[in-house]
Amino acid sequence: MTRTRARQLGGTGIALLFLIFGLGGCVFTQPPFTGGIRMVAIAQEVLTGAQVPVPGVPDDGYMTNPNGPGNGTRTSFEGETNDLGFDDYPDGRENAYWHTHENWAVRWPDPDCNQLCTFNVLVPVGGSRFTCECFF
Amino acid sequence: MLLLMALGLIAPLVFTACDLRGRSTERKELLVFSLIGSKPFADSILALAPDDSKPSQILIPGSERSYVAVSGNSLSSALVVAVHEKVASTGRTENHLYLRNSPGGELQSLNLQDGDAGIPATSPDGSRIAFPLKPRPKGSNYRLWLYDLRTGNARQLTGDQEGNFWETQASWRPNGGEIIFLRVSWVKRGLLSSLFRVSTSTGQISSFPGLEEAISGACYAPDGKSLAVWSANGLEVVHLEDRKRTVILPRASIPGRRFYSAGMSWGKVRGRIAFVLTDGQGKQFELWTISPDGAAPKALYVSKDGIISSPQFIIE
Repeated sequence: MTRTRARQLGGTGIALLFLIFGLGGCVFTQPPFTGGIRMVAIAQEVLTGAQVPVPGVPDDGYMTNPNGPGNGTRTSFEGETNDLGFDDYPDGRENAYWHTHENWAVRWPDPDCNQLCTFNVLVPVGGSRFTCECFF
Repeated sequence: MLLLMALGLIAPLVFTACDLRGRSTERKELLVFSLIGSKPFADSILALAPDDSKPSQILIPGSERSYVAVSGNSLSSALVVAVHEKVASTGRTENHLYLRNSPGGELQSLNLQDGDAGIPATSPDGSRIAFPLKPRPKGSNYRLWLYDLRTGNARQLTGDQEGNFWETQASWRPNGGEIIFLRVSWVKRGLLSSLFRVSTSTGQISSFPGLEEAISGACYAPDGKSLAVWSANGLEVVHLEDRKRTVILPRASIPGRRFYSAGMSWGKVRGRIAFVLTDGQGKQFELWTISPDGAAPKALYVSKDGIISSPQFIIE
């Protein structure tokens, strides 16, 4: 093998290493697949004006129509928000139309805002967040 | 000539070593916070260095697990992490507390009653964790609990399960003898949040004289002599000895913005107070810091996608 040929091979090897590690880096730093439906509840403190994530707000929803192929098998849900003000359904069917709502009235008989946060929307591939706000 | 060349090669190494040694003695304080994502399992923990504008992710979500809060005194020692994950028995998602003993180490589940945990707060000596918990299946509201890392025992610190309020945002007094927290209740027009404190030894709960009004966020100063609180006036510093109150960021000075009630922190190294503001419509969240005298209020990080929560100064 001539010295020039050896240099060419060495150069190609280094280039391949860069390619492998470069691509590998790209592959391994990709964020993992996440999706589904997240319900969020935020309300206002009456005196300080602060916005507060609210636990214990009941939520529910059901898929009305698929829009095409999508991840997730769940077609309905029912639950309530947690201490950070959200409730998750990671297996909620994506690329489908959903009817969802959060109902303040169960915990809060007379809020000074719309009692029912109702959404009729397409949950796209990759998932969605529905935020129910009670501000005034 | 050869000697000079050798010195030339060695000198940068020596200076670099000195520089590194000098830096290692300097305490660097990071502002750590969570970014609650726009879909399930998209929540991560980020850290912002004092002079950086771009935070780095220190806990990256997986496909069936994400991170909603973290607490500790140093990133190089034990951290308590609130992990959002699916519960096999119910098929639902909940937040559970885990311990990470060292950087890069595995997360170990804390031996707690089944249920959904809130944002944890590590005691100043690192031996205990205060956190809200809603036990499953009978718990109806979040109450404050205390977990001892040395013994592995947990006990409920406050109240029964029946009152129409929840407890959140635990924060330790620097001497470790007391925890302050918020009780949030449903009232006719909206929510009402109040500041309480509980003795970790006797369990006695009391309010702060002069601070019985609505408070939506609070934390102790590192010396324990003052509190930073968010009240109807805005951000205030309250000197506990003489109860003198100083409004350092009036609400009127931040038109169009609202305080987001998701925790506050008062740093030990630079002495700044960290908190979260929103655009008032829940569309944009901003991480702010300010000096205790009201100087140099600054938005350090803005998110239009995720919800910024539980800011905390932690030594690197």
